[in-house]
Amino acid sequence: MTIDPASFIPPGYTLLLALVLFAIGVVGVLVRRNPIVIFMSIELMLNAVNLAFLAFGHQLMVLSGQIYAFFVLAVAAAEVAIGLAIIMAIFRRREEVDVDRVNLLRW
Amino acid sequence: MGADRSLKLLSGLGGLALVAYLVLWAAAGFVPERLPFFTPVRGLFGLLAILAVISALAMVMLRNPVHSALALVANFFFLAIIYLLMQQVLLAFLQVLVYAGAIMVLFLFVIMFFFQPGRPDLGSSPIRQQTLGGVLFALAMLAMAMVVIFQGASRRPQWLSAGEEVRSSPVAYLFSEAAVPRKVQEISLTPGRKPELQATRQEEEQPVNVAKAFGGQVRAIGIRLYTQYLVPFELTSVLILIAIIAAVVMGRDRAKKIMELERTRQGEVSGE
Repeated sequence: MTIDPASFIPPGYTLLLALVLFAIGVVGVLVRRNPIVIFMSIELMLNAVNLAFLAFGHQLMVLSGQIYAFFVLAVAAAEVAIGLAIIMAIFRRREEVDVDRVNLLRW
Repeated sequence: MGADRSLKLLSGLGGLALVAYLVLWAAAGFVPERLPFFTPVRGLFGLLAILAVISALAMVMLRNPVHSALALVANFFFLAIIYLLMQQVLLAFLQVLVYAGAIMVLFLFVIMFFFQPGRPDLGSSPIRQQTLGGVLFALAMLAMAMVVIFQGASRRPQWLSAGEEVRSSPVAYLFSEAAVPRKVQEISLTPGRKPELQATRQEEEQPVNVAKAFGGQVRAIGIRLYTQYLVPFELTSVLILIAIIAAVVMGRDRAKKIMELERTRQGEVSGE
């Protein structure tokens, strides 16, 4: 019940990649001012988490990794739909979406 | 740094990585004893990892949000290929279909709704040193996560008995060349006592190889989604339904306004 060692990727390296991608996503969230790019950075972070799930699924040779990543994917889709709708609503009212100027929940 | 220059720099780095991979591949083909660590799959993983990091950096660094979105699409494709290398087939295809297909198209639509060219984004921060602070914070977080995840690799786990090797620490297995054998898997999941859960675990965990006997991973995952994971699955569908309703309600505003405008106009016409 083993897979070919030549095609096995030790999950330590995959985890390193996931950590780096997650950190880049954090930089994007903290540095950018365009809310859409901030959302894309959040997507990147979710993808890094998916990568970690799948790395462990690969190492342990189980399907649970893919199942959890599937749920992360579904939650990400829902989050994007709502988030982009909120951004659209804000833009429609204020004609701008700079995160520094949009600091009130109602006005 | 202009957008053009960073784009050139990043794509040049990607090209360099590709050339390095090809050179290594050829070298490993001619003198395999000199490069024992290099297998095509592992080398491809390294190349894809570098490309994924580069495209993620491009997503953060490029100023034009459309360029950012396209860099993120590239990133999703590289990650999908990495998933394929790891035999995680279903998620590789879902990654392309859902992320690169559906979600990014949504992003591009919204970007084109209110893309204002010439509006400064990066570096025009009202907060002083925001870029530096953000990068430092992320680096600190990365360092902390690495320490937490990899510290156990050098430590002997307490629940090992005297005869066993240090290598059977679950963290040391992160960098080992082989998939985790059954025994260690059970040790790592139930530290502190001897595993007697073998029967139940085999029941609830179908290994990837066993999935082949059931007609493929997708089928096996589907069966488990509708049996063992039925409640989370249904909750997810409720969540998506709520998201759809919320998105429609949020987006309805303008349509309602247009309808009101039409109605008042018709009222004016009929009033005359």
